[in-house]
Amino acid sequence: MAPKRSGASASSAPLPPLSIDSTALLSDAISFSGTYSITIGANSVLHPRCKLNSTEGPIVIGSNCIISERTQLIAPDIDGLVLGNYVHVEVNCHIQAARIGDATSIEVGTKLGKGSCIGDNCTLSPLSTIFDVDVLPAYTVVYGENHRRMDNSATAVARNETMLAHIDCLKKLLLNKAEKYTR
Amino acid sequence: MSQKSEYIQTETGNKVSRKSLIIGSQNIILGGKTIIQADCCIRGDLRRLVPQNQNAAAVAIAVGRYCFLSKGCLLRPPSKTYRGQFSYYPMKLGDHVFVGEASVVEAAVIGSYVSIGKNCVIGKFSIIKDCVRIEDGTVIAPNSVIPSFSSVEGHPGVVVEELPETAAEMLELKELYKSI
Repeated sequence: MAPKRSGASASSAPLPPLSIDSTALLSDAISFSGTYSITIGANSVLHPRCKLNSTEGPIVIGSNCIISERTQLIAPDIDGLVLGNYVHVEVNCHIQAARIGDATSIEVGTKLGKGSCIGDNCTLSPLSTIFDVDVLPAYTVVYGENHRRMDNSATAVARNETMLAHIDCLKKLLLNKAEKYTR
Repeated sequence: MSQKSEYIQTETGNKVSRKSLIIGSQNIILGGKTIIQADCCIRGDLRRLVPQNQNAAAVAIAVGRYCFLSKGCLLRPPSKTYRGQFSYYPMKLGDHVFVGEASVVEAAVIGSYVSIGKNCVIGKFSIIKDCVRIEDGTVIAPNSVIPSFSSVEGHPGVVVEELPETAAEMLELKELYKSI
């Protein structure tokens, strides 16, 4: 039989140990793989077809995060991948970071190298690449051809409010299939 | 023969790959003779939140005729907060729109005869007018407006060239539709 494209069916490899908060929203066809634990915090939203790979280490997603479709979260090593709260990861991202700080926005098609560390309140513009073990201080904006500047706009609180409104909206639009993964 | 059976053909001549992912198809309008290739993703479920009393069918994505969505591209309606209410907003594509491989489109409006290259990112609520060519790997900033007859390139995308008046003939996709 051909392997199923959606990794979440009962017939495929066993799911890694999952700890999903009851208020989190998990869409259909999310692919979980690996053997280390995956923790998903309160009020977080995972779009369909995102991939979480915990073969090398655990993955921890904080509260109020949005992970969009086709994004891959891969734990780089035994210390795992830790996402803070209010993290927004857009589509087509490839993330092997060690840590992503609170309220960081990672836009379309970003690649985060193995073991990189992203601070709080950072913004990574579309198609940016962060190299392995690179460290971004808090409030960094990465734009254009890997240019960097500091974000002095003091909009962190407003952005968190927008995230909450966004999650609220997604909870009305997307179907919650969380019980499918926790069985 | 195997190439033919990859697509499902609808009554209006749309050819949709069996390997594409179309979510919320009740909110998507395809104008006809549109080709959707494998691994394309169209997010029709991200529709506008309407007040409860008006339960009209909300259109999330409207696509015109003779559009071509290449492998791995993604159409996703844009979202913003307006008057204190966060919502997704409809996205509209004109006729003869080509979207290259692995491009992500979150535009509000794309006109007719628009060609988008590979690995492009079209930002939220951007408006692209008729007869525009967007080169491979371009990133168009959110809320930007691209005028007619322009060629856009770079990160961030800027207009680098004007297209000739005959651009519409070059960007027509009727032949491409017949070849699939």
